Amino acid sequence: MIKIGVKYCGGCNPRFDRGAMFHSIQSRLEEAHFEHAKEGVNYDALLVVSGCTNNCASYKQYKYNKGVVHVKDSGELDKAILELKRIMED
Amino acid sequence: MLMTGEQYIESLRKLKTRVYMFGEQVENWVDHPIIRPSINCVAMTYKLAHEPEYSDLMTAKSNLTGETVNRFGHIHQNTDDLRKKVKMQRLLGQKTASCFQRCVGMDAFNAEYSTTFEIDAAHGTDYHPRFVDFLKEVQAGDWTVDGAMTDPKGDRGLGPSNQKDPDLFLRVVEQRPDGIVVRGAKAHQTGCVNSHWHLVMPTQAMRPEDKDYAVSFACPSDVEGLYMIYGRQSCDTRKMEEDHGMDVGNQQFGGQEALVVFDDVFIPNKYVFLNGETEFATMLVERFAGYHRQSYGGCKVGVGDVLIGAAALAADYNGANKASHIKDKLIEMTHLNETLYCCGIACSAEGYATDSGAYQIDLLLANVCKQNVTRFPYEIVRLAEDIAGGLMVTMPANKDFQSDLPVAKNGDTIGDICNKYFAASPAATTMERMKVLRLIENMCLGTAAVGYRTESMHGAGSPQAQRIMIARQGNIEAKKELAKVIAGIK
Repeated sequence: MIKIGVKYCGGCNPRFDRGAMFHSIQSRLEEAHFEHAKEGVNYDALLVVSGCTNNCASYKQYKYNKGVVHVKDSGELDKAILELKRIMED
Repeated sequence: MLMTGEQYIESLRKLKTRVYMFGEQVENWVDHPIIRPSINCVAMTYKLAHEPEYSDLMTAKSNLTGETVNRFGHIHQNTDDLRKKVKMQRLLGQKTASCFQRCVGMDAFNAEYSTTFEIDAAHGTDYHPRFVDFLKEVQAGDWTVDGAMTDPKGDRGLGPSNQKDPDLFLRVVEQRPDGIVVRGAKAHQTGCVNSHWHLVMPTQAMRPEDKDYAVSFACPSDVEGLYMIYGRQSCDTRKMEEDHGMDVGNQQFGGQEALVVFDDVFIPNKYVFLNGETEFATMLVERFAGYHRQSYGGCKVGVGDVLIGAAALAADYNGANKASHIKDKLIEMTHLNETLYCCGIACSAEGYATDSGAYQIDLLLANVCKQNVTRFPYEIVRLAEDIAGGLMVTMPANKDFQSDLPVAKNGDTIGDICNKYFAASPAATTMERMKVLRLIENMCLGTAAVGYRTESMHGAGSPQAQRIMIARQGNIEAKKELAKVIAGIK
């Protein structure tokens, strides 16, 4: 099972519900394992959920092999799922 | 170590801090109903550091140890750190609707870090390594530290060494081989009772004759000779009333200020960071004030977010939410609030590296930020009161709404009558409507107005202090030259 680290921005002025966004993604990708990103852990991919287009969440400290998927707008749900599926298929 | 909110509260119980209120010593100040909401606010700065949805703002990597520390104990390493500081403050304002108090320590750390570096370069002193050692202790213990600047100041027309009572500015009264003895006080100290330590700075620029007053040091809150006299807030004793319920407006959180008295307190040399180098008092004061003026572009914005939300809820509950003037007032409140945020972000984005490597905000933009903060929250409050209606200050007490005392001819109780006559839109129960009006009252003219209104005016320096800095940084002469070129004047 593919392992995806989840990283949120700090949520100072989010324009959408970041938690709900993540849960929507998670519910549509049951074949992936998601966990809050931790330093020192190897992930297949990172999912960075930022509450606005500034996308200020820091994520360079985490290890990942295949790629990073960013969500920074409420309209990016399908796009994020598609990108994650592509990573899973690689 | 990152403490949890619960660990922070328990850590306060271990202190022997001397606190006085209403003419008496408060033995269990941690659980005192007037003080506890302010402790809950600081506890939020610990709690959110452990939550994945907020930790990106609430924590940072220490430049001293490489460890993850609470951002309140961090030295800004770049403009990204400066921006995240403001964002963290907005977040905490949203979560508490109050002053969460821990910013003064963070701003003092950053001012001390770069200033001590430059004092050492000029004088060959060892203040910077002493301060770094102290800050490592702070980060390791995840302490809350009161950044203490404001002296009582006595006669404003006289300098520190010209006052009739020399204690009106904090000073060194004895130099010893192993340390100094200090006497005086710091006024309006935000969060001082809730702090593990105090970090004291001079209050203003010092002249050569004010050498004893050019002093900076750190000491524990319960050091021998230190005590605090708690500051009153509007409507504060509502918190002590039995069954106050919604009457306090914000049942969980609040701010705190007190007078901190130093009654001949001994400070070991390792905690002394300025001792007579009068010319560096200005740098320390200006850097601290700059950071703190930046801070207000975050914290007050977060509190403003809650007030805007409360006003919008009041409009919903009053049944007035579809009125175009209500919508326009909410837009105006949002515009004003986001303008403050723009200033906080802008002075951060334009920050620069000091000689120590730590980052400082843009001083002109930070002073413009704070100058706007002396005005816009008042307008936001005015609009909130406009939307809320007069009931926010005329409604009966929580006890009346709960009362089962029959008063009407048909046997209806006081509670029945209150619920009948203060009902409005079916969007909310009468009690929900009353709760949001009490919250607006709390923020506009109750205990939280200390933080949102008067602190916005005078905290981090009164309006004239910013205007002096704006005048210094504004470069009017360059603007005249611009106009001359355009006008064809040689």
